[in-house]
Amino acid sequence: MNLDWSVIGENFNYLMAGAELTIIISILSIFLGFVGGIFIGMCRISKNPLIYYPSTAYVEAFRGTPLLIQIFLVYLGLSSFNIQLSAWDAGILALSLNSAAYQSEIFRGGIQSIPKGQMEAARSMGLTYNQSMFKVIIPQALRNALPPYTNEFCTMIKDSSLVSAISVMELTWSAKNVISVTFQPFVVYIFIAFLYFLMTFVTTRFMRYLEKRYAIPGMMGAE
Amino acid sequence: MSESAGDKPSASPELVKKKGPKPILIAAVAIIVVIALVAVVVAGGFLNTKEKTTLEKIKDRGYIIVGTDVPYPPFEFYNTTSAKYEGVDMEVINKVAQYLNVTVKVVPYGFSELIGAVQTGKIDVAISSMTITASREEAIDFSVPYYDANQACLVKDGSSITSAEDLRNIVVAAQLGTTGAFWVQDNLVTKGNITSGQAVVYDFVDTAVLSVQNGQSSCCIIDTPVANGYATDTAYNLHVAFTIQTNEQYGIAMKSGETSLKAAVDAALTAMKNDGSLHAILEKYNVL
Repeated sequence: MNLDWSVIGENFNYLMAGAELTIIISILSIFLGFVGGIFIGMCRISKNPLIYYPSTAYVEAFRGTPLLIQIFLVYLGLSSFNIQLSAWDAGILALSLNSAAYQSEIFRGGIQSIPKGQMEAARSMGLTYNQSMFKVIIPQALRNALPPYTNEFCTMIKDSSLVSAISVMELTWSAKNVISVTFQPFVVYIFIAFLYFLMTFVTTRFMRYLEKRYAIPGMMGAE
Repeated sequence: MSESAGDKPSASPELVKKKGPKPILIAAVAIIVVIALVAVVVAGGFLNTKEKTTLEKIKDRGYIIVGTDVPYPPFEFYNTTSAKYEGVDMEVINKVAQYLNVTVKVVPYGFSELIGAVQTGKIDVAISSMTITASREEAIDFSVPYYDANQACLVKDGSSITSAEDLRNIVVAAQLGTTGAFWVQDNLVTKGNITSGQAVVYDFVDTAVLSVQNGQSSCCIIDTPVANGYATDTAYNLHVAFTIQTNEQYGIAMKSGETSLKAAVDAALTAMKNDGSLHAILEKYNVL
């Protein structure tokens, strides 16, 4: 096996275009998953069974099945019901739905990490339930949940490679395409592994900064 | 119980300020670990130079490791009833193995990964309806050809596409790393008939065909015998709109420089052509 590193230079712009799409896909699905996760997380702590059980079923379904299958279901399966999604839309939708399930659990964990006494104290000071939730509990919950959010964001960046299976032209797809012409799997995969590492490393450093910046004094997050 | 964390708001700030290692340090360590892993792999490759030829290894172990990309009916597909890999290529390689006096072990791969698997010795040979091309021959060796094919444009019944002229500004599907995908790139994308975003390439051919069946792609460019197989399968509403004369020839792929293996495979294929057994296989699967 002869390693020809020049294929990286020859296909640099092509691979970078793929990396750009990977970044866009990751940001979009992390953001949509974040919003969806907060919504489902709120449902998960509801006392109303009509809200609690469907949201719990959603989380279990998306956490209990492989992401690749979810991507195929959204892309190929939905067309059985005459819903035609492009590979791009289907990919982002599947990634967001999946991430929302995980992020809802992170959010719920964050809320439950805030001692019950705080809610009681807020209520006794005259705040309504919603006011206590949005002004006292959730701000602290999000700050406490930053480390697990970091985990999920890194997972999303890496899992975005799965949408290459439905022909979304992101970084892994571009790499496979370059390999199919140059027959240099080792060189190309090492290079894109390095690019993925760069993306996740910048993310973890940024999240670490947020963690320090927003640590709650006196609470476990402030170590 | 639950109050314990909240009841200590006065944890001393001096204890809290503990600086972790610098980010650059962490990055440096991570990169060193990656480079070390790479070095181990590369060094391992160089140290393993004094080895037996692939043909000797095949004879020693008594079976030949064959890579193929399924499904690609009728050339290779997994029969769930018999739990066996079947098709033209499977019968051809079984016959070749008989000449070598060994048995066959089939390993499924994605088509675009096959050449890498041959190069790195993960598989002894690849038989997967692979067209012999000049660029592939730079990376691997091919046996003598055993089948002639062209490209076909597979469309959904009722499609208005009837010729290559109709392939403008529509979504065209193909399989990654195949001559069909190269044709789309060279004849549609570079000529500006479709954008690069309209040339959608899938890992597996069944996903590409399903995208046509579902309407996500307008057509799919694949080898003629496979297109005919899908067109005659009543489970799909597909037909071949037109064929493209590309004059391709399928060959069995193996590692470059394995002259003894190539000689043995070529001899087996030539004997099969002469005694009519190759013809019989092609006739059986209706791909003549």
